[in-house]
Amino acid sequence: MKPWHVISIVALVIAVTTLLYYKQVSTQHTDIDALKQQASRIAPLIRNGNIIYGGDSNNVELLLKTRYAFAPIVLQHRPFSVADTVLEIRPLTDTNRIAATQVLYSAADSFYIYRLVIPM
Amino acid sequence: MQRTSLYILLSGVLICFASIVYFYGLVLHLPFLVIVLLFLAGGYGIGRWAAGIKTEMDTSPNRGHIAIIAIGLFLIATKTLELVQKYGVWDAWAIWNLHANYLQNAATWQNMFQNTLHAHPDYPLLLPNTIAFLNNVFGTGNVIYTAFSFHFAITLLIPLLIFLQLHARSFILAILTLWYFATDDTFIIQGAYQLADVLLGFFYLAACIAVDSIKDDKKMVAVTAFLLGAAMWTKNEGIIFSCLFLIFHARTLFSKPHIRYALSGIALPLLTLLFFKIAYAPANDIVNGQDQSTLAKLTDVSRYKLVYDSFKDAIYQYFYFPACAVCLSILVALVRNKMSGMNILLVLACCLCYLLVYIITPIDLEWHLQTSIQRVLMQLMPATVYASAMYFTGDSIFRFRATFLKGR
Repeated sequence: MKPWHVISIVALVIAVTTLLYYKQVSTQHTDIDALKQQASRIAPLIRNGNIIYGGDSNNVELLLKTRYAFAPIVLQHRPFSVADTVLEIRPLTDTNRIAATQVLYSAADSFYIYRLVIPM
Repeated sequence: MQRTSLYILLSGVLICFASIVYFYGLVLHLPFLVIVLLFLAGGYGIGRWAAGIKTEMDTSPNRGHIAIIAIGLFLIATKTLELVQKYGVWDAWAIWNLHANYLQNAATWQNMFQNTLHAHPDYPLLLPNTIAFLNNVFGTGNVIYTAFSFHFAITLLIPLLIFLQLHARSFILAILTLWYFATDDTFIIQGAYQLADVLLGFFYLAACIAVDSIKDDKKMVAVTAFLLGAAMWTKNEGIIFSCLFLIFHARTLFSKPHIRYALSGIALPLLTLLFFKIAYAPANDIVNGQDQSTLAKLTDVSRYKLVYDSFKDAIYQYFYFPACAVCLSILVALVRNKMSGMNILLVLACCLCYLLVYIITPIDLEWHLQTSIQRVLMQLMPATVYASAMYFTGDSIFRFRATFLKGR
């Protein structure tokens, strides 16, 4: 085997797979209405803040997920110096945590929301 | 070692070099164009230097081999697309890709060190720097596409490298290992997670291959040392592996004709890591969390039991075949009354050190094991498969048969 044979195959597989990945994920957007509906379900759990979302109108997703204790959650926008929103979810029960995780689990396109701080 | 394998090892060297150049570019506020030019100049220098490395003659084009490689890579690609998540898993977007996002911006990159609670800003920067660098080169804006391509490429290179190393020694075993990687969900999903563990596994594997090739050319000592430095610059676990590697292969790497190459190879990544740790990185949570309770943890039998049970479960569930291969190699070594392969012993020692870190972890042990044991064992898996396969395709089996027949 010559090196260029192998390099060509690897490059081709990477290029095609990346294109397919792009095609696959670029259409994965959270439905804003469904998101709002879900958000309203945990509204009683949310105190002192709003759910925020970033990106353009076609591309609205939340960047929140936790495996730690939940409250309070501080989201910061670019350039990472201003706290935009504080979410507090109480009481901190497993049910609430799971419900909130299900709703809030997602990530923002183009990392519009960058920084997540979850004090214990 | 064949020429193609050398090129793959050098791609690891270039990845590390790119991240180091980019890091110093950020530190010194260099324009991005200057960083790119420095990388190109350095890459050219590395290429010129490596052109003289002696390798085996490439065999003539073999359509069968190429078809097998293509099928293997195709299987990995289809499985990756099936398993991939848009943003990777938690650690991808909350740590690695997050760091890459910070590092993309030369003006605000140091803000990443403020996020000390859960973003682990003490982690070395090889991966995020490389992604930030590539992302700035391609101007894609969103790091997820660059991150995906990069991790996918590394996921492909690991089985490819092992296949290339094995196919001349045992074609059947080369196909079996390629098949194993191409159909192993645990391995492929780790690549799709977009974490640093598969990349670290690649550097461990590359260092093991490079050290086996030192007999062909002294320059491979420098390549080995640089790859060890790259492992350290990728993740803190890489420091453990590299220290053990230097101990296990000390006679080869630090012999009189080789020590100059070893020191020159490891110098750049090691000094960069030290500079980063001293000047920028906050304290590591595990190191910082050590106090008087450490002794109590070391003498607590229940912690050992918990770690052992988790380790055993992970091995049975995810790494059964590599573990069987290691056990078999030890059995053969015992029958022959000889030491097992050096790289196999190295992997076992590293595994033991990893487990010891769990014993003294200040984090909740159960949670820590649950969230990481599979990943840290994955780092060792490619090197384990390679070391075992090389052991079984070497002269060990013939001597084993001879010993066995003599015994009869």
